[in-house]
Amino acid sequence: MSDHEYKKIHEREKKARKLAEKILEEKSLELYNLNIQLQKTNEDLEKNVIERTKELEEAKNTAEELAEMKTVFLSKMSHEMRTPLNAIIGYASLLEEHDIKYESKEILSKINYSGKVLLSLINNVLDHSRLEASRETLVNSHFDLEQELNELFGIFELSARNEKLDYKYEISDNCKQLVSLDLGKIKQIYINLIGNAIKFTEVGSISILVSLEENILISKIIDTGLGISKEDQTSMFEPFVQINRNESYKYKGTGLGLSITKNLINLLSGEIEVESKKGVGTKIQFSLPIEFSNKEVLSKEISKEGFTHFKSQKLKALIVEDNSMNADLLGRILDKQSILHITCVDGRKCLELLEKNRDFDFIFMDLRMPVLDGFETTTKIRELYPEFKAKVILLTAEPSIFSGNIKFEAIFDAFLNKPYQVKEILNLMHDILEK
Amino acid sequence: MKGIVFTELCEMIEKEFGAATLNNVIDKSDLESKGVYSSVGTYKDQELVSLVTQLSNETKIASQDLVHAYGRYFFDVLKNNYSMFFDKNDCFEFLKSIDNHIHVEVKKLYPDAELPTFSYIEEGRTLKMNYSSPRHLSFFALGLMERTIEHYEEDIEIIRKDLNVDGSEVLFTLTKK
Repeated sequence: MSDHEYKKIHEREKKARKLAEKILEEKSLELYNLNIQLQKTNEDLEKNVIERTKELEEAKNTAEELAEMKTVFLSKMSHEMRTPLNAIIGYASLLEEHDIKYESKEILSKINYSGKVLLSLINNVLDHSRLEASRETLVNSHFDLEQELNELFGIFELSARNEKLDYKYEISDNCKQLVSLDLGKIKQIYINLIGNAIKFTEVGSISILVSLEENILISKIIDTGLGISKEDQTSMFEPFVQINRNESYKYKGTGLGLSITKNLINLLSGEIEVESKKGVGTKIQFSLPIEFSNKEVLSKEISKEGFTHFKSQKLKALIVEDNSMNADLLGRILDKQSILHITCVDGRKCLELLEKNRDFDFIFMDLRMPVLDGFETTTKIRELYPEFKAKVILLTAEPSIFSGNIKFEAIFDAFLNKPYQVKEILNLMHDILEK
Repeated sequence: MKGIVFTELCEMIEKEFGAATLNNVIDKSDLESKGVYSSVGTYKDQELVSLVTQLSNETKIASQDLVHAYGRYFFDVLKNNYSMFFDKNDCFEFLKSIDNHIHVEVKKLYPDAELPTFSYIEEGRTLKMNYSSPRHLSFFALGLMERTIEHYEEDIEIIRKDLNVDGSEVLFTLTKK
């Protein structure tokens, strides 16, 4: 091959190389541009994610604020409703004890009954909102487990008998234990579940079995009632859900009871299970971990009828209450026990009175009052008169304020929820005097 | 250093001094790449030094002058291959676009390219360009600038001044006449 031919081949090869390099450069540039595009898309995506997250956070905050507003609203409403309800139930109870015609007595008992139903509905709504807002805390007390359960299950005997149901309960021997638990919440769980069993069982029986396995309290509530379909079993613990919808016109309620029960069991670190067959019956089993107590528990020997023997003790009481009707109602209850009493309409008036006269055994203190509220007034009383022995009972339509609140527990001797039953206030006074 | 500097140098040697000289230079240079270059590859700086030194031996022309001539030659390579950068109105405008436009584009294609940096001061008819590169190729840059002036058909004087002993920092003062 001549030099000339070699050169031609060399030139061709060189040209081909340059072409290939050019193609490669173009591809590199294309890749670079695609990369930039990809980076931009990524940045846009990240920006979108950040924006969406921010929006979601804002929506969550708004929802939380609304939920908080709902809780505050429900709590205020419930307080506002409890105050007049206190007067309705209280006066009706007082009147029932008067020597009145049988017919009037029956009407009164219906007023009383309806008042209590209304109260339980208000309480349910309040409990629900408090549990939803995770505001509920545990307030443990020491008590004899078997004794409390016996007493509680006994309460339902009458209503089960009225419904012609075979009602029985069995508490295993090992429940004779002193325990430290939130009794109020445990009672509420049983009341909701047994109440439901009675409500939804038309014929047959209701059995309650309670046993203790190590530190787990196992309770079974078995009824031969309407039963719950598989479909309903998944939603029965949701709030405002009423199962047996077709029949529900017969059964009153807010549809909150089971949701509250489930939330309470969760709060107590327990578990609940449901076995049910439509038309056959329902078995609800729940287990709660319990704490054993070594503390001495005073055995309760309180008459269910309430005390009537304050009469001989010549007790004196001071009522501090701005709602004249509630003050009047409490006055009448005290009158019946021959307890002398004076009423002050606010905290300042109370302090003025105590300057001159501190001859009292009890002070019934309302919480929300104009001028000076019950908490500030009592704080002042404790500061000014450390030797003053009168028992100060807080009467409030906001029970949650007292539960587990050290500030309140430090200055008040006891508290009572409004509306209260006549026998409740008398029992409480008796307990405090015995202490 | 990017492959195009090597491929075009080989091209220039072949064109100006013949294929035999190119082969000689490559054979005697003891190159790691064995002289097999592609414009899209990257090769050691030392290979360029070896090639220029060897070419200087072969041709008896000073290395500095060879590098200077190569700068002038390389301008045409760039102009032919990357005409889009030559859309500027005059020489100063083009020179000022090297650091913040042309080199940016080069980096897109060759992210590993190590390029000299330029800083500029323009005062009236004078443009001062500060060249900074560890490769000491300021004569290559001088050749490029001269051809740029010729390309824009302007009458500009260039004064080259070393700012340090090793020639890594050099000041070019360009004055329009």
